[in-house]
This record gives sequence, C-alpha cells and structure tokens, in this order.
Amino acid sequence: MKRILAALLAAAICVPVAGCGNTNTGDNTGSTGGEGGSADKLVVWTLAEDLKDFAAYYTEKTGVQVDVNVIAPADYPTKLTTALGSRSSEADIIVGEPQMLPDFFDAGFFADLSEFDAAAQEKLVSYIYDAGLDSNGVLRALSYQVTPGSVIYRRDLATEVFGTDDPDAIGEMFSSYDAILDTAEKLDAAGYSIFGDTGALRWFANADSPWVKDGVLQMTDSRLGYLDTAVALYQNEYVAFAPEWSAAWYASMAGELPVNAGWSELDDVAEGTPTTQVFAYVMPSWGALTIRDNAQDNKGKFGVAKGISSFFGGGTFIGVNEFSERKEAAMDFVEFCTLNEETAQWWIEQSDGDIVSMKSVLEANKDYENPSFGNQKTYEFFTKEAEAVDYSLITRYDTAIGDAFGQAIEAVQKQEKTKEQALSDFYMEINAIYPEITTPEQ
Amino acid sequence: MAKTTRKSHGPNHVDHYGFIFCIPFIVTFLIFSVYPVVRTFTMSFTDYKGYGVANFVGVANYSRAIQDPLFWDAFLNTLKMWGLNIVLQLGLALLLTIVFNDIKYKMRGLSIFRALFYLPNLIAATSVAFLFKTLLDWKFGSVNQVLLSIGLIKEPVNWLGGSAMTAQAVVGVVGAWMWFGNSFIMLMAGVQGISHDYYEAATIDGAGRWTIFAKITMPLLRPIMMYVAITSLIGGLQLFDIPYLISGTKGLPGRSLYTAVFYLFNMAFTNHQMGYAAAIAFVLFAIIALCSMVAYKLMNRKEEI
Amino acid sequence: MSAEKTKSGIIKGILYLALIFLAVLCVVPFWMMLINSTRSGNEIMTGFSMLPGSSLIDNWNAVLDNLDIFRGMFNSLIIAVSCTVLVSYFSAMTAYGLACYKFKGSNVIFIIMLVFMMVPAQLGLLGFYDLCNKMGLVNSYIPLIIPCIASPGTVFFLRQYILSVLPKAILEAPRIDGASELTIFHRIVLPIMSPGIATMAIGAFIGSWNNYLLPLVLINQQDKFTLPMMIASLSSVKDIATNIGATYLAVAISVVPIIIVFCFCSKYIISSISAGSVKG
Repeated sequence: MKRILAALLAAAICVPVAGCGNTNTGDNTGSTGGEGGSADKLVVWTLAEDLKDFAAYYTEKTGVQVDVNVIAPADYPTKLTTALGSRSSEADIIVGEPQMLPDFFDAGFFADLSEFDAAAQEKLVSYIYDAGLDSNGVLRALSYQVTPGSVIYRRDLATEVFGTDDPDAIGEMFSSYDAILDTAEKLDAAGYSIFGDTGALRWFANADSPWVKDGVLQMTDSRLGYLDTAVALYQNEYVAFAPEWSAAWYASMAGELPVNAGWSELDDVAEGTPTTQVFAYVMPSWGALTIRDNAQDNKGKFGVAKGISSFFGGGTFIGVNEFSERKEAAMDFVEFCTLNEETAQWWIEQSDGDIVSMKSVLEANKDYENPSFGNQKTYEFFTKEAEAVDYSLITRYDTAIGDAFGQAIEAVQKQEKTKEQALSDFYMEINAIYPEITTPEQ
Repeated sequence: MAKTTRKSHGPNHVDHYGFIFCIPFIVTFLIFSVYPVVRTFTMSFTDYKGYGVANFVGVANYSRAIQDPLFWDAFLNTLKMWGLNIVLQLGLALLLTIVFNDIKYKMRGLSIFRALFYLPNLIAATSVAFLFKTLLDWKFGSVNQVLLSIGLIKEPVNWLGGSAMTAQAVVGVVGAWMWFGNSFIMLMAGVQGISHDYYEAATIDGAGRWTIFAKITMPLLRPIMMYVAITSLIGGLQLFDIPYLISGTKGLPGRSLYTAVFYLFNMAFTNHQMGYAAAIAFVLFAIIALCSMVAYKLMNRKEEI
Repeated sequence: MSAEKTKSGIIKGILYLALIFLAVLCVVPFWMMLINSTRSGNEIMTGFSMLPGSSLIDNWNAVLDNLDIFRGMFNSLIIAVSCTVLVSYFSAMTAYGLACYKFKGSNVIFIIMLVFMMVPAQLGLLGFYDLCNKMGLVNSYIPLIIPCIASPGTVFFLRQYILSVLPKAILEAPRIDGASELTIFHRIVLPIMSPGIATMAIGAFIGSWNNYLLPLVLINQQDKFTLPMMIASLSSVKDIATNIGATYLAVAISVVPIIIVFCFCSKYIISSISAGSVKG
C-alpha cells in the first residue's frame, strides 16, 4: 500500500508537463538566468499596456529580450500578492499604481533602488520621487509618467455660456465647491450639464488634508463641502447621469446625450427627446487622452483648466522584484524607462501625448501648442499641475475610504439616508475595515 | 444508502480494494485540497497580511468577524440574492416539469427545449457578467430599449446603478437564468423515476390532474427538490463571481452586491488582511455546514414518510 | 366537446408560446454576442441591432493583433481534456470504491469530502499557490490538471448513481471466475456507469474550460495563457471603445468549443442526472 502511495506521489510531482504540448524545455523556470548579473531575458508583470512598448524599445536598443505579461488591473494585486507572498522569482520587473504601493513596499516585494535616488530626485517631478519612497524613506519604485489632473472642458460651450474659453477664467469657476455649484446652475440654465456624474468631484477629496492623519480620520469642512455639493448637483439634476466609463459617458465626449437616460440611438436624438451636453470632465492627464480619442467631431474643442486642488490619479510605477534572480539587469530596465531623457522624448511621441515625469523633457516640450486642445500649451499646464501635487496628502487608505465615502454620498443623493445617518454609517464602515483608524464619532 | 451497501459486497477478502480504489483520490485530495484549507485555518488565528511575518492573535479575528456589521450585511445580501435565485430557479423548473408531464396536453419537443434551457449553463461567469452589464446599461442597454419600445416602462430603469433592490434582483435573476435548465433536467429525471403505476391507479380512481399533481408528483419530487436546494445552498452562500464582475469589482450600488465571499476576497487581496479574511471564511463555512446539516435532516425525515 | 377541444388547443398554443419565449431568452444572449462580434465599438456603445454589422474583419484583426487566440484555445483544450479524463476515471473509481466495498473509514472519507465542499475556495488560493511554488509547479499545467483526480462533488454524485444503477449481483460471477477487482471495474462497472460519467464529464469540461482565477495566479508566460486569461487581458485594455467588438468576438470564439461538446453530449444529460439524484 505504501509503495502505491509513494509511487503516486512521485508521479504527481515528477511527471513532466506531459499535457503541455509546447516546446519549452525548462529555460522558463527562472533559475537559468544569470545570478544577479546580465541576462538575455527579462520578465515584466504589469497592469497597463504601456510597458509593452517600452519593452520593445528596450529590446531594440539593447538586444535584451523582455517578456511583458499584462494582467487586468482588478486582478493584479491578487496575482502579485499570491505570487510574491511565496517569494516567487518569476517576474523581474513589477509595477504598482500609487494606491497599491505602500502595501507592496511593506510586503518587501520591491527591491531597493537607492542607487537611483540622487538621479530621481534631481530629474523627476517631485511627487513621483515621493511616491516611490517606502515608509523608511528608501526608494523602491519610479514612474515614467506623471498623471496630474485637470478640469477638461468644452471651449465652444464655455464661449457660448460664459463668453470666454480662457483656462484661467474657467479655472476660477471650478476653484471651490461654491463656485462649482454656481457654474453648474448657469450651465443648467443654458441647457448643459456641468459633469457627466457627481463622481467627478471625488478627485478633490484630498484637497487640504489626507484622509487619515496619526490614525484619525479627517472629516474636514472641505470634505463635507464635497458631500453637500455632490448632493446638490445630483438633486438639482445639474449632471448628465453618465458615470465614468459608461457607454453614455463615452458618447458624451462626442456630442449630445439624452437627458436623464433617454434610450433611442443617438441619430434619433434630434427628434424631440430633450438632450444635454456635458461641459466638463475631471480627470488625470490620461483621461484627457481618452477624451481626445473619443471626441470625434468635438476634437480640438476642449481645454484644460485647474480645479479646486492639484491632484493626480493612477500612473504606473515600475520597480524590481526583490526575489528576482536578475536584479542588475532589471534595474537597468527601470533606469532606461524612467531616468533616460531620450526614452522620455520617445515616449511622448509613441504614446501620442502622455505626460512624462522627466522635468527636463517637460521643459523642452513646454511651448508645444496642442491642436487637440485648442492649441493650448498642455505640457506647460500639466507640468505646473504635477509640480503642485502634494504627495503627503496621499495615504494607503484612500481607495477604500474614498469608495466608502462615495457610497455614503450616493445614499444621501438618492435620499435613502439623511446626511447624519450616511456619515455615521460611513464611520462604522471605516471602523469595520480598518479597526486601527479612529473616526470622529468614537 | 446504508441499506444498499450492506448486501452488495462480495466476500470480505476483497473489501480492502475499496480503499485501494480511493487512494488516488485521497492522496490528491490531501495535497491539493486539505493542505491549502488547513493552511488557511492556521492563518485565521494570526494577523497575517499575505506576506511577511504572521503573529498569533488567538481568536481575535473570529470575534471581530462575529461583530463585523459589514460582514453580516454582506451575508444578508448573499441570502437575498440567493433566495430570489432559488425561488425563481426551482419555481420555473417545477412549472416546466408540470407542463411537460401534463397528461392532457402532452407537450412535445422536450429534448430540444431541455437542451436550449441548458445553454446558459455553458458560458463562463466572466462572459455572463460582461453580457448582462452591457445589456442592462442604463442609457444604451438593449433591455431598456426593448422595454421602452413595447411600452412596458416609461423611462429607462437604472438596473445596476440605481437602487440596491434592482441590482440584487438582477443578480438573482441572472443566477436563475443560468441554473434553471439544470434544475429542470433534474426534476424531469425525478418525475420519470416515478412509476407509471401510481398514475394509472390514480387515473382509474378518477383523480383530476391537479389532484394527481398535488398528491403524487409533488411528494415524490420533494427529495430531489431538496437535493437541488441544498447543493444550491452550498454554492449559493459562496456566491462571488457574478456580483463581483457585474459590479465592476466594487459591489456598487451602495454595498448591495457585496456578498460574504466578495467581502472576504477584498479583505484578503485589496486590504491585505489575510488572517481576518481566513477567519471570515471559516465563520461562513460554519454557517453553511449548519444550514446543510439542518436541511439534510429535514430531507431525510421527509424521505422516510 | 369541440369547444372543449378548441379551448385546450388554445391553452396548448399559449404554453408553446411561453416555452418558446423562454427558449428565446436562453438563446438571445448568444445571438447578441454573435451580432456584436460583427459590429464596431461605436455601434455597440450607441445602440443595439438584431442584424450583423460589417466590422467582423476589423474585430478579427484586433483579436489576432492582441492575442494568440489559437494558442490559448489549444492550451485550454489540453487542460480541459486532461482534466475531464482524470475527473471521469478517478471519480468513477473512487465512487465505486466507496459505494461497493465495505471498509473501515469509508464513511469518514465521504463526510470529509462533503465538509470540504463547503469551505470557500477563494481563500485556499494562497496555500495552493505556496504549495505549487514549493513543488516548482508554477507555470506548469500540473496544478490545473492533477487536482481533477479529486473532485468531491463528482464523487458524491457518482456514488449515488452507482447505488441506483449497478445491480450488485453482476459483480459476483466474474469474481468467482477469478477476475481481478480492477478488471471488474474496467470491464463491467465503467460501461454501466458511462451515462452518469458523461454528465459529470460535460460539467468538468465546462468548468475547466471556463476556469479563470487559478490559471491567472499560476501561469505567467504568455505562451501558456488560457483562453479566459486572454479575454480578460483584452478587456483590460484601456480604450474599450475600440476593443469591445473584439472582446465580444473573443468571447464568442471561446464559447464555440463548449457548444460543440454540448451538442455531442447533450443526449447523455437526458438519461443521466436522473439516476444519480433520484435517490438523493
């Protein structure tokens, strides 16, 4: 009996990948790469397509083959935690979005990049450097891009309603919650919606203080203002009810949208159904590209202006897997992607307008007049916004707290709860998820 | 079951083959199922984050789970969605069974319908969620377009973003849509297992169609309905992928699409509280086990009548 | 009499209409999927049509540009077929062992099996990965295939099935003739069980074909990606407007093999589930 058992065990463990049917002959188990030295192949795990282009470019320049494995963003933390939690050396280069980084750093997944510290501090926009530091101030990740936010607005509608499409003037109209409400009212009177959805305001949630400071949840006046404004915009129907990423939201970039969810195909809209147009979107810089790419006939009619506060959103930060067996080579790749002027300039062209993190390259593109945005000097604008980002306002709790706060707001908007109820439920929720955080009503 | 096993065997000297036949199963099961679960169990007594060092914290995670309002909310959501699902699924299956067994109308095309009804079972949850998300889109979804054009609704329904109720109802209905064909096949099988003698005798006695259904078909179908309900309960309380995918991994609107497993999954992989998530898993397990036990007892009692 | 007849005719008509309506509900999503796979992203976003569009070739090119879809299909096929074979053979063997022999611990095994069906699988993930990593099985299909040997649900079902379809007396004669137990299992038991096995095989094939989370975590090399992984990575591309048609097409392609398998096996479903569950 024991022999059968042993044999089965052995079989289960030792059988080569019998069914596998492909030609790999073991060079992919990761152990055959050079011991920390040069390698002829690197493996990247990422959640955005960008690094595919970088990898191809790197191969072109250096001859080192780079395999890029793109994982759906929602699944990325699961995959990375599972694999690197078991100290897997499969990936050489790993990435993270800012909100994932603190946990990944704590977990020890990202290798020390201190050798780039001086260069990064000197060359990159400061919030990128700050985001790459772990809680002990050790540099562990860098990004090739900055993702500063802006209010992306329709110049043609602005001229029509406000008599100006000047970014500074428009910025003024979005400089506080009161101003936004006022602007919304005027737009509504003219038959337009200020935003697709009240979710647009969430980007300003960190305007003046981090969500959590010294273990205490910060419910500031500004955040309450966010809540009140979101509720007012919703209940007065000043928004188009087209949430980000919905089909209606995409469609709004190109033109008219049925009011409060009409149904007919866009072509039929003219016949009687009341329609609206979305005036502004609050998005990070990559959102500006999305809008440009979906604007169709509206291309060129947009402008970018500053909102309540300078913020950023998302962005891919690159680092080296602590357990990689090809760290040196991986470091070289990270340096190539993030600290190389020539690469940065290449990326601006390759990506057709992404905003890079390298200060000198941003400076060089400062005077570029962007035809997609009414010949506005977008690089100059985004550089200024990126430099104004205060990374100390960001905490690891932001995603979960932001989601919960968004839900609280939604409940008030739909009159399912009173403001007080919604807030106390919100505090309860934060307590349940993070028992270590003190909430105001405790 | 015990009854059948008693007489069946040959001489005692071959009985150890029963065990031998189970060995591959047992070995694989121990390695790939028991080991990970046992590891999860030990994790539930620690503050493990999914990485790094795990400190023993005793039953702290369990007491936290029992007091966690969000967990119980999520559990309640699960119950609601599963409840609607099972009522629709079994109800529809039962209705179809009645229709196809009616002695008066003698409906045809059973095998074709059965195959068609089974179709939704074939698609991956990812694709199902993707499809329904698109179909139920507030402004551009085909469902609203169709309902509006035939005048059933006056303005589009915000199925997945509106109230908690519609969103939960959608998940319940989608679940029923996926599984009713399967239940129908099982119930049909159950009916076909009922001896025709019963029916003939009843017909001779002059019993009407409804009497036959109520007095003969239903009682005989009960065990199989319980079987379907219990397997569905075990699966249903672990409801995860459809709500997860259909709500774009956030559980919106509100927290209405958060299910218990959804909650623990997020706790483990987004909030990095692996130890606590493990504890939730075992609290959930205890509940499922208890429910199944109760249901099993009920089922057995009914069967003996 | 004739009025009675018309009345029952009408009722019958209504019943058929209802049945057809239900059947349409089951088929429509497939139809929409096929239609949408021939339409462009913009068309899909802005409205729905029951008739095919003209972007099939564009979508097809988009799928091929982004994915090695045939590689994915081949990979998924290998895993699903191996898994199905293992599930069928070993579950039948285990079920037979549990049902037809009386040995110490058979009940314990049965109960443990049931208990483990109730533990949420998602959390085993960490332990499972750790195990595979220690055994050097990351990026291998072994962890996706071998565990199929032990699928409690299938064993549970087949055990019920055997109890109801296998006449025990049938085993006595060959035993007296000196046939080995394994031969009896192969020659006599397996053929008798085949309808029940077939049902479970369909389920196993579909389950394995559609499996996403486990391959996602275990497989890192693009050339080993399974179909669901590829589809997920396609829909993760930022600009879905240009890719939504392609995503539909990829989903449609992934469903085709399942439909084929289903067409061949659907007959078994009829006879099958019955015997196993009747005795529930």
